[in-house]
Amino acid sequence: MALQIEGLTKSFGKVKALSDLTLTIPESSFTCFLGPSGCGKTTLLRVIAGLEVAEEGSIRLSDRDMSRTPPAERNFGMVFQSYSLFPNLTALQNVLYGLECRGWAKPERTSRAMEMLDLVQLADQAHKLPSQMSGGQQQRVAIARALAPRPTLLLLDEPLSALDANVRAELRGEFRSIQKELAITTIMVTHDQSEALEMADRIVVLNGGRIEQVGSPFEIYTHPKNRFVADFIGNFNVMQVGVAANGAIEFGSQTLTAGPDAEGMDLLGIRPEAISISPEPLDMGNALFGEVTKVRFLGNIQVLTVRPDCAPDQPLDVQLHGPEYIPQPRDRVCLNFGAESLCGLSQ
Amino acid sequence: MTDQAVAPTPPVRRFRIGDRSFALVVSIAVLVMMILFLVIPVASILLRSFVGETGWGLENYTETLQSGRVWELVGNSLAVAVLTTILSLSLAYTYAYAIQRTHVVFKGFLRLVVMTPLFAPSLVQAQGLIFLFGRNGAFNRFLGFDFDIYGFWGIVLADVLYTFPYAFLILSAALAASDARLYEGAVVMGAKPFRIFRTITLPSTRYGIAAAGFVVFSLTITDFGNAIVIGGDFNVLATEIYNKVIGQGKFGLGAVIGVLLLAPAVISKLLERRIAKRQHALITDQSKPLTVRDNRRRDLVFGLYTYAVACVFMAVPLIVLLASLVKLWPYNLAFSLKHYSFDVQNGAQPLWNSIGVAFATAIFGVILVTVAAIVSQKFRTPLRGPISFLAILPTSIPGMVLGLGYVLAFNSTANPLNVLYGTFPLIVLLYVYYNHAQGFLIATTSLKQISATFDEASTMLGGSQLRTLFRVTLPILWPTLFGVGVFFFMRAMVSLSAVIFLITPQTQVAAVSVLQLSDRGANNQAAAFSVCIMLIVLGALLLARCVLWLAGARHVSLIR
Repeated sequence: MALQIEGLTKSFGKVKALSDLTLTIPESSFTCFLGPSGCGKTTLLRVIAGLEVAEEGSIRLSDRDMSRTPPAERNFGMVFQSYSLFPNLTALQNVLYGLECRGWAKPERTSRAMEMLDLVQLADQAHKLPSQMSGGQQQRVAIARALAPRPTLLLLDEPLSALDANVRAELRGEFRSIQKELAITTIMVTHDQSEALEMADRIVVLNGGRIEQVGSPFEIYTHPKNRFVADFIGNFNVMQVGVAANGAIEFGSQTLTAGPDAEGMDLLGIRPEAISISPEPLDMGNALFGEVTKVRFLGNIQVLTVRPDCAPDQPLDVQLHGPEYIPQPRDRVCLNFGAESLCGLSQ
Repeated sequence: MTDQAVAPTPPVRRFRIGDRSFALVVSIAVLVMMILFLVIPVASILLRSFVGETGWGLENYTETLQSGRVWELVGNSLAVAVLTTILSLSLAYTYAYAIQRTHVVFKGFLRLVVMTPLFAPSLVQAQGLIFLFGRNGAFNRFLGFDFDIYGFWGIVLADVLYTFPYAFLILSAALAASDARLYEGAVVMGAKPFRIFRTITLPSTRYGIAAAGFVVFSLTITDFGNAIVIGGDFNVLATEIYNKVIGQGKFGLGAVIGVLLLAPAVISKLLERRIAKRQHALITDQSKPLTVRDNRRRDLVFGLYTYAVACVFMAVPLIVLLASLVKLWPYNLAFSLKHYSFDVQNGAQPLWNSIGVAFATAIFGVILVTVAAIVSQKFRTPLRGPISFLAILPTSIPGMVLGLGYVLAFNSTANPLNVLYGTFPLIVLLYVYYNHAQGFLIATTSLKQISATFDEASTMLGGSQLRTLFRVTLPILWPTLFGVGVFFFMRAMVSLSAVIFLITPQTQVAAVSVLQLSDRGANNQAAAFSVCIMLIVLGALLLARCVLWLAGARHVSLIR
């Protein structure tokens, strides 16, 4: 079931949470809405769910207009950030709840509920109350509860952010494999870019109620379209460059070779791990000499800050993996990177 | 399993009342009830105060305000209220300080003992003081003193005891909320204890003090039971309404005094609510709770004080109990249970009436405040604003004024609900709406604490508002609502001033019996009635505590 969103606009008082937002969610895909707090991602999810009503725009599921359908009749499943299991009901009763609301016959609903608990590997916990289960178990029951009535769309509102780091890592894989197994169209809201990169088929980066970029995790990571996406995905070197009369790209006093998408851009970005460090230039397309100003040791990686000779006011970060060669501050090094690693960024 | 996306079952559509129209119907019902049993009675008082013997006009006001007597009464009421407020606040503050900030022993006992006035009919303080200091009281009779307790000082003393628990609860909460960082800072800078008290403790509890002050003031100025029992020839506004209405049948003049009484009560309640809102902002989530240091001498001084106060609070119910158990206080002190045979008019019937009325009040009170809370919190209808306002309005209406309003509104044959006049249901409704504000606030607060996510989760699963209510909200909320029921029960057992005008010989309740018996001089039997009321309330509290304990809900507070 593909979901089409068109021209969605929603304000809270004077704050515009969503402005004229248009987007298509392909069938059976796992889509992440990613952005900082206040970017409108949760509002967008809640408008899709029907918990908020947009002022303008439409939501269509396989060409059926859902904009005026009350949330209880949309047949969407939803998992909330935390503590949304009914505390007075056992895990099984929680999963049964949606089936009772939809008037399923008794034998069918019990077998369906047990099937769902089995899917999240909690069949043996069926008679426990939420307060007797860990946070991770509760969120798995919440998934089972959301999926039990066979929803057409699964909505996840930061389902992992209240959990401990190790549980979170485990559940990322589990949620993703359940989604693939059922092939259910899924939308997840998150502010954690690594979560989005790991789980999603498609990422929608939002900022100030607008879409900044839509793409696969690989595209978003390697080729952010603009400065905001580059900054938000993190660890991006952003270079202010000039364009010479002949079209050459000038980083300070040195000319760079770059791919076609960097042409004519004022801003170029490069990932710190795309830069190789060496004493003498390597044959990679670009080579800049510079001086190490700072070394940060972060366990499995080192981050060097290097002041390039050609543009001393624009230091670049470089990531090194493994401790085979660790430069020290004030060492002279050469930075090498390929033309295709440079991407053009709009403001 | 892969059929999930291919063949989704369409949601089963069954007939149900649309949530929106359901919400509107319930909201209208709540509002209509409030208008009938709250707005119309209060409006009746205001209207009636303008109806004189010659028709509409300011006649009642000019008659009342031109007589010197009313100004004397205003002066008396204000003098009693101001002095009581000062005494009650200083005593309760010191007591609360001892419990929150020192290591006095048996704090649980000390806390409970000053709550006893809440469990007793609201004239028991005067009753106890008369047994202690009256003409035939223990001190004059057996110890050779010559106290004259009747009058100004008697009312003040009784009202200090009566208002102490209310002040203590507020001040204790204010003193419990403290930020250790301020105190550590002051100690590091070398401040002495008194300076710390003056510069940190007192300022950080000033809102609590002000709020408690307003509560005590409005309780005192509207108190009727103690004033009529121990006042003697000393009259105040509250007793004057009683005299005008019951003694002389002058409803119009009573209404004028009711309006006079309404004004200071409303003003002080409004000020209190404004101030109470500010108290919370003082403590942030970074505050560290204060740990009390050891200090032998301080604990000894405060220990002596608290136990002295506790003795006074024990003395009142104990002397009442004693007087109920002797043949004829104070002349024949032989043990006797004859006062418990209730061989007076109506016998023990008023007690059974009270229990029945209190039960009904508890049940209807819980239902009505819960529905009102849900309507104002969860239903997005245009009526939620007026409902929230009316729901907390009773907090500023003195019991006597509301009671008189009921008489004026329902006694009139023009009112189609006139059939309720002189029946128990009207008394129950009066108790419910008289105590509506507190019950409503408790229910609203706990509704707010239930995560809104539950509603949304239920909606997303296809549940209606009604299903959410009965399957999720009420099962989570019931211990609190049970506590609200206990509160209504207690209030209906002990309060006197609200129903004093509504009572008929057929609908007599126990608290009024106490007043009428002591009015007639049947003090021992009045004492026996008081003791029974206290025992019933204590028994109910104990029973409620057991029920909550068995259900695993141990943190519900029952004493408010």
